[in-house]
Amino acid sequence: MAQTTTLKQFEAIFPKLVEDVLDHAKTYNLPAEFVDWFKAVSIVCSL
Amino acid sequence: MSVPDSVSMLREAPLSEQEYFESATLGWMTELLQAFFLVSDDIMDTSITRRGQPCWYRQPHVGMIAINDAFMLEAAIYILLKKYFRSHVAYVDLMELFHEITFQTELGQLCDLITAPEDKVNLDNFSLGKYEFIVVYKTAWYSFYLPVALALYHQNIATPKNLKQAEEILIPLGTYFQVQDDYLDNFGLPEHIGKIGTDILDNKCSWLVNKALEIVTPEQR
Repeated sequence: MAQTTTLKQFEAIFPKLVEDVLDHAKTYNLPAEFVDWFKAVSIVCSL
Repeated sequence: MSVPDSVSMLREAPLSEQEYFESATLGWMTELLQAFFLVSDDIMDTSITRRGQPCWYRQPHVGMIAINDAFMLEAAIYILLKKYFRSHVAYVDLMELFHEITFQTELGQLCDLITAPEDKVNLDNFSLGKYEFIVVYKTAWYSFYLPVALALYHQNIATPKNLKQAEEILIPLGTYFQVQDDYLDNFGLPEHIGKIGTDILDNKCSWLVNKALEIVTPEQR
């Protein structure tokens, strides 16, 4: 039987993905100020 | 959310933690693609609010930085795709799918911008044919077809035949959704649709005006 996902379950995945993307940005020694900006932008998509 | 749901239906079983994570990641990449489009569209349309909040570019500290932010949201899709699907057999297919859907959506946006410029509305430009093109390309491909196509590729069972079948079901479904949305913008009750529709006031190229233009007499026009 297939199981449908819940919004809560789906949203629980998002913070990890944000961290992954930010970690990638950090490999370029992006200063913290800009990491925070990118984080704020990423979160826009989950609103 | 329709990516994990589609994958679970294709497998006819609940997903393992790993499968759920991967399919939800593909779902979130679809959300990133949507965020990239919406942030950009709001700038092009000089929109005021989105999801009940001021548009991203209207935040006082943001402004035109939002253009670069939109590009970065798009780039994030491919960072995640590489991180989690680099060794997936369908990696190239998944990447090509995101690129193609992006291009299709941009075609829809082009047609929308040219047909219904915000500042000078010319009803002679409107037609149900153009309306349908805009809806299919600007909305239906990425929000209806993409999640199911991603699920098929993720399960490594995508074939030209089942992708075509998905298209034949999902593109009309997406069109139906948008037509209904346009109809409810005017005729839906605010307490049901959660907003006060302003499509007519805003001269939007909606289904209603196109349908009206199709049936009016020259005098009524």
